[in-house]
Amino acid sequence: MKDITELTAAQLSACLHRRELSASDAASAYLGRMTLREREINAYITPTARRALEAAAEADRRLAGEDAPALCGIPYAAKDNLAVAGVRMTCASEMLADFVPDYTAAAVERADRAGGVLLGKTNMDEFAMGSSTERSIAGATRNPLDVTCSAGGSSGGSAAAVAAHEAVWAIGSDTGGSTRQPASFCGLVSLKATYGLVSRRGMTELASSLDCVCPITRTVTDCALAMNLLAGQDTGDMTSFSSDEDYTIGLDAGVSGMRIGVVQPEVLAECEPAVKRAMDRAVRLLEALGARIETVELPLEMALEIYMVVAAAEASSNLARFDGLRYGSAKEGATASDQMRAARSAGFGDEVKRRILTGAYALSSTYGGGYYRKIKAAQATVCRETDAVLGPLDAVLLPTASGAAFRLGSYADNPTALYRSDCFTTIANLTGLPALQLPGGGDGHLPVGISFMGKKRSEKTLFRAAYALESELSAFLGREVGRDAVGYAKPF
Amino acid sequence: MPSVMQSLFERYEAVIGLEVHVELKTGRKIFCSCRARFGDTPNSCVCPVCLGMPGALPVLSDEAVALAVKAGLALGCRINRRSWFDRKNYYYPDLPKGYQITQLERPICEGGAVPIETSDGKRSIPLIRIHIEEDAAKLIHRGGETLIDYNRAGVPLIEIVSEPAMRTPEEAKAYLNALRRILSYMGVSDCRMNEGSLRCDVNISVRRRGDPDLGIKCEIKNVNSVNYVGRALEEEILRQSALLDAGVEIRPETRRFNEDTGKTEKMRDKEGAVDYRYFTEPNLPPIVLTDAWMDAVARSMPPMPDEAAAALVRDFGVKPENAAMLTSSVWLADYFTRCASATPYRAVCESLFVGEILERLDRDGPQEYLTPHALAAISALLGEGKIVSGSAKRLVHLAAESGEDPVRLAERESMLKISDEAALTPYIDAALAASEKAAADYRRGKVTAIRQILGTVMRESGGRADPIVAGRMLEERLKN
Repeated sequence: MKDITELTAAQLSACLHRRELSASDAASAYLGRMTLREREINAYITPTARRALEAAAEADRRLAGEDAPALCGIPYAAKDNLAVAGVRMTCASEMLADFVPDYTAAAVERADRAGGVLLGKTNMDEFAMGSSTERSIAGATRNPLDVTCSAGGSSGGSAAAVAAHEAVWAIGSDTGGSTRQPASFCGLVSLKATYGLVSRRGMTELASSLDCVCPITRTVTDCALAMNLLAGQDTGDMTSFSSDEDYTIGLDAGVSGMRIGVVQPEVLAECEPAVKRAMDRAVRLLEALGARIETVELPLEMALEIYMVVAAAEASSNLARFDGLRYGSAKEGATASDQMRAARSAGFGDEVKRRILTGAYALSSTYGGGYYRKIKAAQATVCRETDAVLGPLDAVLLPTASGAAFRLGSYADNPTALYRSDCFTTIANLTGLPALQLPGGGDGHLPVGISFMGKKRSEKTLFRAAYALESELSAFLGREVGRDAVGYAKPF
Repeated sequence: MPSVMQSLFERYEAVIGLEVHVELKTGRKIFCSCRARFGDTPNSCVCPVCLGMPGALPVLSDEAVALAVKAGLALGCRINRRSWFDRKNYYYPDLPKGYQITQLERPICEGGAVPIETSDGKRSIPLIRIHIEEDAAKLIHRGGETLIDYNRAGVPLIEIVSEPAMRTPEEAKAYLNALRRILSYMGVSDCRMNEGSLRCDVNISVRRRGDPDLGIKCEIKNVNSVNYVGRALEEEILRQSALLDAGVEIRPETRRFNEDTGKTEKMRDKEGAVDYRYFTEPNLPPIVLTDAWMDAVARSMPPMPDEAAAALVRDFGVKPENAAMLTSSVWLADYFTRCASATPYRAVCESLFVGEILERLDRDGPQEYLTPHALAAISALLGEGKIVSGSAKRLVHLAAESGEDPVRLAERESMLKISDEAALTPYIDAALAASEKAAADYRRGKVTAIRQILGTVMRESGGRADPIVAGRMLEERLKN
């Protein structure tokens, strides 16, 4: 029999519901796996083993009954910017090194309510600012597929945990590509849903108007199961909206007759050859499956530039609360201002300071003088243009990142060059549109990712397209996608 | 007034605008469900949202929006059917999130006016805007340290900004009093300056009379009584006009009023103003007021306090000066109306209500001190001459505290007047025996001497003897 940790969420769910395995078996297997792999991978900042075993025991009681939810007893991980009552939340920052919230994020609440078993809080770039999970008080996370490489970021810990089979699935946050890019580096699936579909309550804000709480999973099916759990209105987040979709229904409806746009070829010029090959392969397969393909032009460059300003501006405000009065180590100073300055200088890393300064500058009426207003107007233009492109289409296909995982330390001397790696992902955050990353193949041992981006609330269409492509690609990628078990998983 | 001051006042004119912060009486905070009440134990009404914990998100209180709209309707403002929140970013220890959620670009109300009356007659002070915002925490400076009470963080406020349309301290005081009266009557706020539920920042500049241009203004922060506003303004007008007179340029400053010295003092320069880096609050969708919602708020609007006071005078014969007091809130006007409706002895009821009950309500808040039925019973006892006025006053409190029937209480407490001749006879006998000289005087023709004897009867009976019956009995006895 296979190692339990080899099973996808759908497969494990079927086993648990058939009582072939217990949730406690699964939790123990994963905790064991963590012991083996953590020294090398460093996916977790704070494991929650004891909490996991208690949750597993409770899940087993529910699984003995009739109506246990699909993900009951399934071990998962959560990024360390999602609050869990009683568990330290560091956001990978010195500033919050000792912070223990007494409230729980909506996403974790939902997972726990469905019987999920939280294994721990995962590593990330400090306050989710970064694309490599190297800027963390816990040190860098290594890519399980090649430990000399980055797992991506900022949700690199969540992606590495899933790729290293240290969790069945994980929750991350994506403000400009922070779950999709690591999923792409680690050969995983991640959906950044329409803004508002998943509650942000309890997620430490980076850029409130762009932040999305997102699942990272091994397969498209698992991702749909996770979305069933995460999606839906929360009275605690006024930007959330209601959803009663079952994302697992209609996954296999195929792409025949779908109109799918492919992003303009010029933007692929800067990508690694593997990315171009993955895009070409995906286009051929989609065509073979009956989709109509056409080339489109998305304002990617403009989106990236606007994104940098909006994200930094909102972050500069959101991080203002960390003033040393209640978080971080209190510093001496003659005045309150001096104390705050000292605490913030000591508590934040360089990248965080860089973005706070950029953001404050952009918002400043003295220096920016109406600059931010122009940026917001330009954002509206990007939204209009993107909507116009998507209007007649079912989805647009584009790369997730310009290449495979890079070596750790590649950007140590040139931090802003890393910003460019978000050029395919930020457009979805800036427009609030859904985008789904899936592995698109790759050269050698490292995968590259491709994404479908769609209209507002078109998650089901994206799942359908990704599922069809995943089927065709799975043989090529040599990975199992757990299709045998779909029928057993009860809808949530 | 000394002649120097008088001469300054004659040559200079003040231009005054007020920014008034009013706590909305929702009982809850604006973005969370924590209790908002004056006097709670510090930091006992807090949660992740009002403490600004990472990941905690604001959820707007519909009731706060309704009260802001009520204030706007009462003051004749235009209500913006679509408004939104902005973030005002600055660092201060009382600001949990490092920013305040307020309305800059599109406030909920614009325009409107406050009608005032001064010795110069009636005027209307136009408003610029009313916007909704959250309060900051309260800093308590004690010895060398500063403590933070987060109970006040997130309390719903409206800020009412007047045009710089007032010219004298008297107008500013009248404006504040009128605003307080309207907002407290409407139930928008308690408007208690001593508890901070109404706070006032004063903007004032001075110019030579006849000069069309405005002078350089100073702001006096957080003046906490109507009288202090008047005194601070007088001080500041004097200071600024004396400076101008001496040819010294006024510097734009933020000042405070020192209650001990009665002077204003500089806090900081206004030049190099703080850059608040405003931007639209991303966590809250715009406030969109639908027709149905607006109708519901409009329907819940009581008449304006002046109309309600006029109705009390007209319908219940209430004295005008009492009518103003009885319409300080909708609740009070309603309570009084129910009492007055329950009795034909309305003047008696009014005087007992104003004399005995109002004070208790001030102390204990809006809870029915005595039922209208009980007050009606006491009013009848007094109105029909069965008890004396002192007993009636005592009876109000006895009945309120015990909840017993006032008539039975009056009997038990021996308050009922003695008008029965047989019962009065012992008092008459005793008084006559003790007043031989007065009786002799009376018989000799000094008619007024009977008053002294009647006084003895009243004193000995504890004030309960019916003076008319007792007087008649005395006259009869003295004739014989």
